[in-house]
Amino acid sequence: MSLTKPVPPHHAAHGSRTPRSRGAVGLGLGVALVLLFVAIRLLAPEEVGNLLSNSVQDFFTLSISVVIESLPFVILGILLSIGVQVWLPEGFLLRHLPRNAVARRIVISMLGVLLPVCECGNVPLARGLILRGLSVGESMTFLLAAPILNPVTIITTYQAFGWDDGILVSRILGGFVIANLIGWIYSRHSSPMSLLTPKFQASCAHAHDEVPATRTRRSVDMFTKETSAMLPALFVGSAIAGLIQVGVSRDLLVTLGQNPVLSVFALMALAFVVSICSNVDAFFILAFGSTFMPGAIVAFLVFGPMIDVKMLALMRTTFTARTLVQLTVIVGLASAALGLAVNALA
Amino acid sequence: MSSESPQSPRSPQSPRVRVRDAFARRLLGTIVVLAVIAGGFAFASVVQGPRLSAAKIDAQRSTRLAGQQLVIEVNQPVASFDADEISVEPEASVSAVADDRLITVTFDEPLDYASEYTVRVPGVVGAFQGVPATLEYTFETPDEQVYSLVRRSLDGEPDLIQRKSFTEPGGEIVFTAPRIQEFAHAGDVLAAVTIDDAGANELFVAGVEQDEPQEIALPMDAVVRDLEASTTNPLIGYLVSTPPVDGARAQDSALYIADLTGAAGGPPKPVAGLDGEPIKVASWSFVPGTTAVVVQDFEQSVFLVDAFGSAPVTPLGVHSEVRGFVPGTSRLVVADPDRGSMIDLTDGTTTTVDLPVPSLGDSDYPGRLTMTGDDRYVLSVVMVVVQPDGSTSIASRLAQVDATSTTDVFTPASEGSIIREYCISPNGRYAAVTTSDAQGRPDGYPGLPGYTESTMSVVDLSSGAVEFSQSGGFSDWCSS
Repeated sequence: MSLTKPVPPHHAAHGSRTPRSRGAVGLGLGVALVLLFVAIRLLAPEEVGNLLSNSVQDFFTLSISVVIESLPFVILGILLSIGVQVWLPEGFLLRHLPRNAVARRIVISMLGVLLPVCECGNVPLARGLILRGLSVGESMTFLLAAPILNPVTIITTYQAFGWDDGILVSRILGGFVIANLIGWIYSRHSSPMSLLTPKFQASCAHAHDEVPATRTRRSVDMFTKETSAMLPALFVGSAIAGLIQVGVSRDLLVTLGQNPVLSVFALMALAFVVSICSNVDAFFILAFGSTFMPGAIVAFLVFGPMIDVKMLALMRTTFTARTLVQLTVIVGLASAALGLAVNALA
Repeated sequence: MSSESPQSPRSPQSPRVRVRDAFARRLLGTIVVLAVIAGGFAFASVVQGPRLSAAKIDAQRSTRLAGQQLVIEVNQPVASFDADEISVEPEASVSAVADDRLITVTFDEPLDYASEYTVRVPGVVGAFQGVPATLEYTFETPDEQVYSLVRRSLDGEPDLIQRKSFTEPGGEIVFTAPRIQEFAHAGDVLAAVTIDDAGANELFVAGVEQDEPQEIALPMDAVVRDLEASTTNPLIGYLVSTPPVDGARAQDSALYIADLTGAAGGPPKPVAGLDGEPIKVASWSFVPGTTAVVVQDFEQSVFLVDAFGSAPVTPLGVHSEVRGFVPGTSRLVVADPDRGSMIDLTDGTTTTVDLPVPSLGDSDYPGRLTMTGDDRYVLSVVMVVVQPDGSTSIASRLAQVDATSTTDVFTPASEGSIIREYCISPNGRYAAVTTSDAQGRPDGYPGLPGYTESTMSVVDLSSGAVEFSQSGGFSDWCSS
């Protein structure tokens, strides 16, 4: 009898390059890039910056702003995910959830109150929850509800709008209903694992393999693994968001924003493009508050935290493209229906 | 694995396929339902007209100043609306303009107290919806407390200041002192000039709800007169004169303005004229809605002065008499031997006032008049009444005169009562009329003497109805 368990196949299938050596190469490349940028900044004449067109400068500014805004929440989400996967006792979360499916999803949609991270931080956390035994549908419910149903988002929305036009209530109820609707739909999926990317399916398959290492070591490894999965997606998503913002005229969106129907879709498009975190999006849109109709603001505040360019890029690390298209269609339609209802009734 | 196996994914009977079908049905069904709901609400949004999103008005100021605005926010830009068809209940004259999503309704005159106003703006067409809609907004104006001074020192009791409002007929006593010369109030802060045992003036300020009044320091043996309060700002003003020493006075009718909030910092300072020296003020008044005052010196020169020196002193010419402002406006009425004029302090224009001639009887004698609008005024009338035995007596009444008619609005209820004084409310809609009956006699106060047995009645100038009465006189409307 061996004293140690055999190393899982996927851990061994790296050929001659170990994760440590890959990490060292990555770190070296990163340091080299930073040094290169510092050297360019110090040695290049200032006029070089002026050679960039306004559009290019805007692209970098907008993309970097999304990264800067999201990065702390991604890191926080990864840390919480590690906490759930490594530090919470096995089965702790599942034991404390109701057995009834509807009640279970309702409780899961409220987990954001305990884990208040922005939507980008929820992706690694949702991945951790799946690895800890949550179903795919339930993890979607958490993923979509938590950015809205958390105290930071609720407080900032209240600070921005108070009780005006039912914006706060519509946001909370809309987020709750849509997240539970998604969970209800996907609870009927015959093969939930097929909703996940093959790479993440592999991670799930080995989630319960016990690695002979301390919790701290496992946490560090997991941090490395999650950041290497999340950060490229964040950078790509932010770059796309920046690119679209440069390409799409905001003036056009603002013009459309005063039409009771088109305003809803205009602000959903704006939310999709700007990819702003749910914790601060209320203050962002408050600046447009006098221009846009309340239903459009509600659609912005509900759709944005669930689906945007950056989130799709991050969620693509976990879900298949087909699944994300379905999610986007349902969330988009539900947000539009909510926004149009507010415009028609409020 | 056999194709007929019940577990085969290809079998239409397999549980997995059924579940997959259930998922597909749920997914597609949800999409269809959501699309229908969204389409329904989109259609409803398009076919309904624009709606009122919010509305805002400073109701407190609307009863004190003309030109107050109700700003109606519409849920989309306004393409057009029927500005001429706007209706207001109770009736009020308005004008309106639209700018983007805002319709601004301006009230030409101050509004009534304790009233519920409903404004309807018809024919509002949005930029994106062709269906016209009528926007309606209702708001309430605040109640008005009317104060009066009851002098009882001749009967051995302390004088008191009491107040009563349009909706609270009970009334309450808000200040007492052995002898009170005059008072004014700015909001719920009361200022009172009292007379001590030695005959010297003291000036107190007290919150109506507070017990302990605060004394404002005055120069030794100073005489205070013409205490007034702003109707819109927490400001009071008063004239201070000190006794002559070697033929010269340290303070000679100097106007002090006190900020009751304490925001101005430091003790009140006298208002200075063009030369930077304190003006010797013969008469003065707050400009409604501002921190400015209009003062007239003893050479009859009139100046516009900011109480806190934030604007340069502006000369307004030399006039025989300053008759105050048209209620709620910045239009100052001045009188000269050859004509009366109205100076609009907002733009400096002066117009000659052509007063409508009152329709009076042969034995009627016009008394003091007070403008309540650009072309109407309230006039006190003294009448000589010939009794059946051939003797004569004096009676009085209050009339409102406009371009078309002279209407009696108040006549003392009891024979022998005489109108001693009247003052117009800040909104120009009411008069506080002080009468004293046949037994009334001068109260002997050195400053601002009055009559005993006085009663103050608040009269609606539009109907002549007496809203309420209370004992005393010297309404606070006379000191604002």
